Amino acid sequence: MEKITANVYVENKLSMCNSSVVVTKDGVVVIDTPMIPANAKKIAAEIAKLGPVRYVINTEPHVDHISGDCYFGGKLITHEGTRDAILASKVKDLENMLKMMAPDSLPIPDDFHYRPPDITLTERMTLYLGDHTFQLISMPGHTPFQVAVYVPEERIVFTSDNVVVGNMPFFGPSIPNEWLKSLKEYEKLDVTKVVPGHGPVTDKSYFQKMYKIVKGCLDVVKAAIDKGMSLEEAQEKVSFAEILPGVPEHVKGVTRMNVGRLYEYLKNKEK
Amino acid sequence: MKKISKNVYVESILSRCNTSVVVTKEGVVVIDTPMIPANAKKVVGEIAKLGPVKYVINTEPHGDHTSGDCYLGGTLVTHEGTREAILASKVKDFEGMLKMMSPESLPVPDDFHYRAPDITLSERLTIYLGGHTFKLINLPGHSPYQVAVYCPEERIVFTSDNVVVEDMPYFHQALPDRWLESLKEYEKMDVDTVVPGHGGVTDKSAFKRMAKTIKDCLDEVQGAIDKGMSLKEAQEKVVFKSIFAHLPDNDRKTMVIRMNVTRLYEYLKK
Repeated sequence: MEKITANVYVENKLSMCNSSVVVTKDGVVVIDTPMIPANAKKIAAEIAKLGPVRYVINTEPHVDHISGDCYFGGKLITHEGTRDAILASKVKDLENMLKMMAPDSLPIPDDFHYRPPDITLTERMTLYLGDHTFQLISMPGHTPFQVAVYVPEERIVFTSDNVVVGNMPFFGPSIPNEWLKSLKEYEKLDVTKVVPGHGPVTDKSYFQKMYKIVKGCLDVVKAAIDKGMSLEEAQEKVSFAEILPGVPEHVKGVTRMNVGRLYEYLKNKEK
Repeated sequence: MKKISKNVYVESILSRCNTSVVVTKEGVVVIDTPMIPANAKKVVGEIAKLGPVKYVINTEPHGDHTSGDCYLGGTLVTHEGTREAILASKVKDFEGMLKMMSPESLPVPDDFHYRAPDITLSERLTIYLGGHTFKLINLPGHSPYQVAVYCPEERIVFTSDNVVVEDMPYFHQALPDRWLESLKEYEKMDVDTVVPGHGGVTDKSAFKRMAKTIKDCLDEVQGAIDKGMSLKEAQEKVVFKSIFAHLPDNDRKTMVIRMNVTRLYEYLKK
């Protein structure tokens, strides 16, 4: 784990997302957990050295952020929509995901299970622990259930996949116009450090970059629609290479999915 | 404590408000706490027999609901505005309140302190514990920070002082129009049992009665304003006579009515 401020650590190698830890006088708060069970256990052991886990927060409903929850104690807090997603998850889903992303980590150990959250929010809630404040704010975007975790004492925000650095954003279940609004909301937070859902820790200036990326993707698909392309044509021809320089488009499946979602979203808006 | 449903107990004698306990498979949730320290300790002893306290919820910012919090364990959950009120509270104020309401309980014991909430909500928050669901919903009225605790498995809602039975509503920090809106929100809940902030446990019919009481108070003060009464005149002449005819006349009733008239007059003038 890398120490990034006086009391904050981030793990991004053993985790398939950024798993973060905030150390307070009365224990620690964990934000998102590693997807691969063996790695989750390793991280849980590392975190135990920093203090007892009081709360675990999931910033979004996706497997790469929630699957390690069962290896941590404390109270689990998520958006109400993330709780619904967790309750609907099947071990089979994780197995399929690992088959694709980390086949060497299979089989899934017997002690793995999806852990139901203890507390949910819909709009805003705040945790007070030690001398730290954790403001949980619903910020729809990448999904309707994204949660920002803002810790003013550390001048830091954990953004979920509403912000990703050096990675392709996932538009699958996204609400693009809400996403753009949320990126404006992050700007209002008084922070010096920004921990994205994936990729290296960054700063406030990245919100504008992310805004341009999301807006850029929308515009490219809009242009394809204006040219009269069908969904299939758009999925074949649209590229995000200019918007995301340096981000490999090797996962063509992801681009197709993103184009598919944005195409459908923009078409529905026209109606 | 009185058992009012399979897993719910309410204490209304030792507590200055209704203090309630919901027993789940994994521990208990306490809703509002007794104001007088000695009584809070007694009630805590009773609650301990029902299970470990996992959460304490305050339904509103007032001292008669929050002062016993320090004698209970678990995670304390309130509205953000209630947390601010608790942080601003002084033991001296508490002493003043007890002097008025229960002088025999003085002095304030050394172990008393205002306990800062661990978790706050602003709109909605849900707690899941041992097969029970606790939906906390901000329903402004008696104050902007009122929280309803709706427990669907028990078909019960704990209303805070947005609903009071056999007592007068307090308007000093109230948002009367929001209060009327909130009472319509309670109506939508699928409940058999309603635990008011003060007074006997009741049912859904209490929401309409409470709305009528609030509306009648507003109308009477509006009538005084329409007649051109000054605040001072209204304070002397508006007595809500027919609205609270069923409550015994005493100094407290006179004082509360005057406070309510003052607040409603200022509210309606704006």
